[in-house]
Amino acid sequence: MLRKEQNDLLTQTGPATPMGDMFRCYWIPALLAEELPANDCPPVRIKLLSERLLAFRDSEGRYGLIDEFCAHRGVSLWFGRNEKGGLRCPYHGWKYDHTGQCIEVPSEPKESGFCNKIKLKSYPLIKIGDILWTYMGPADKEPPHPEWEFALVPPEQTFTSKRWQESNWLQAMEGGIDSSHVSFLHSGSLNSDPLFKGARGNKYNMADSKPFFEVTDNEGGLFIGARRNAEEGHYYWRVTPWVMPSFTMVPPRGNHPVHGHFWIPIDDENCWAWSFDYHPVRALTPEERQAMLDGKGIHVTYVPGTFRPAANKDNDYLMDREAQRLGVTYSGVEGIAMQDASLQESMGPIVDRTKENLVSTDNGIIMARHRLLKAVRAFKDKGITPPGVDPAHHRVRSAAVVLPVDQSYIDAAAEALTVIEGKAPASV
Amino acid sequence: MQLGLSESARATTAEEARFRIGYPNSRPRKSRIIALDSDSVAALKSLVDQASDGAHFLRYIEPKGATNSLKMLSVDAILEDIDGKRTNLVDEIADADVIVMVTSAGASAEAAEVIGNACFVRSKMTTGLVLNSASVPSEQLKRTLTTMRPFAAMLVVSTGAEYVSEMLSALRV
Ligand code: FES
Ligand SMILES: [Fe+2]
Repeated sequence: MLRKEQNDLLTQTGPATPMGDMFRCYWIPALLAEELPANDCPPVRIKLLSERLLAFRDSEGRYGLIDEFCAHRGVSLWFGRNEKGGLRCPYHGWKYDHTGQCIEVPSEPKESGFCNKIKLKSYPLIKIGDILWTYMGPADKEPPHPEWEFALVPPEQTFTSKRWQESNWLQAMEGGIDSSHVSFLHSGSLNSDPLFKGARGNKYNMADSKPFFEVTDNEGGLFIGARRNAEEGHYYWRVTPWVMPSFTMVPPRGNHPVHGHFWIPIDDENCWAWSFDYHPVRALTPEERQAMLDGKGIHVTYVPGTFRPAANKDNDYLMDREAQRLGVTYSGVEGIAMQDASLQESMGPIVDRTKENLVSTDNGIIMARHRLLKAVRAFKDKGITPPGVDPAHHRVRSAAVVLPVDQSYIDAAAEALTVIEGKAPASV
Repeated sequence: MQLGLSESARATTAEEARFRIGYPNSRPRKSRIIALDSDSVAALKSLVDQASDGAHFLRYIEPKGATNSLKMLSVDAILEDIDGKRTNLVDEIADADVIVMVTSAGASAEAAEVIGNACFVRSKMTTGLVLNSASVPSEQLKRTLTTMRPFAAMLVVSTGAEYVSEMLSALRV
């Protein structure tokens, strides 16, 4: 349970809210690089942290993320002409460069310098991996670039998708650290999904549906360990890292690619669910890449031309009661991502956490909220940089390991939980 | 209400969320929060006032009826409440919904073993909260964890004592 004021604090992320300002301490994923595939390609409308923005790539390949609306009379620059080093408003021809600086006002004499006075709000937009990242905080506080492993490995080793989720970011993110739902909601997928099946660890999963948990805090966030019985004298551990504010990684299975998420507020009632899949030491196979494109694993298929999942609230998520009854899918919804999203959206746009009844196994969620509340207060009252800004906090991995019963994953798997370039993930 | 939307689309709007009535959906919980060492007793003392009536704060004193000769683990223990009144573990946990053991990293693990075992044989699950600090060698933390692990469905290692109250309020204790 959270009190109302705590819930408001964590779920409100617009400009000048404490949590919104805290999100603006981080480099966050803004667009897939493929959304701006070429110089002078069409601009893209994007809303982040309750702010309407426009992304474009100019004639020289420079990326810009600027206020969506023309400073003249407020036209959306989505209609703009992306030409000759800038974006020109089609209404009266004002032109802006990738920093939002106005570089031409055709009605004014060039010599007047009028256009120098006009500048749209803009944010840096940089490409790392398959993602265009932005930092929306004060320019003098810009942190070093992100160092998430999935974005730094060679392109053939990684795949990223995003989908629109119609709920507040926090209830989506909490699904990523809610390890106890996996034995139920996703139980149908373990042996059927091409990106999951066949791992030795799966048999421990199936044999023991009541895992015990161990939550450990660290500088950047948390580790959430779920343990099940393995062979005599051993436990099978699945360890999920959470890095503040909203990065989570799923423990690996066999030699499958490893996956994880970011949950980024669009506004308070919508968020982007980013889903990545990568292998630290090998290229993804053509079959794996195809499966990801086909919406398997944690990815989805889309309403064509959008990032809205094909199964969505407008078609009742293609609910299949027969599949539910037969246990093909536990909830009747197909696919891991939409199994999660359908339930999280069903809570309503912003879930009322004053009504929930958490139990002991929800301590991962309780601790994450606690860390967020603590960080947002420290940031707001004392200006303390929140955990997760430092790229050192990005260099984590998830792990699946079998350990003797007297070993703590936090010690025994310390290396496995850290990014070591060229080292295969710890997985069974 | 907008027409033409699917049931799910209509049901998940903010307007519809207003129709979730705040009926109580849980009866008050009974919880036992047991400090296993003196550091955690101190951490609990400050919480007593904020907690609900269903919460008892206790400290571990010693095992009871330990059958040392049989080399068997004790299944009961003597506890003491905040006012210094002694009680039996067995009586305390009989109708408890939530049992939380609080200890600090490196503290003697005997208490955890006794309480964990006593709860385990009665099919009561415990939550273990280990207050960690940077000054405690990881070997000592490991010892505490290893003892508690078999008996705690949830083990939380937290740096800083303020998590105790946060967790208890989240669990409606
Ligand atoms: S059982 Fe967890 S939300 Fe219903
Ligand atoms: Fe899930």
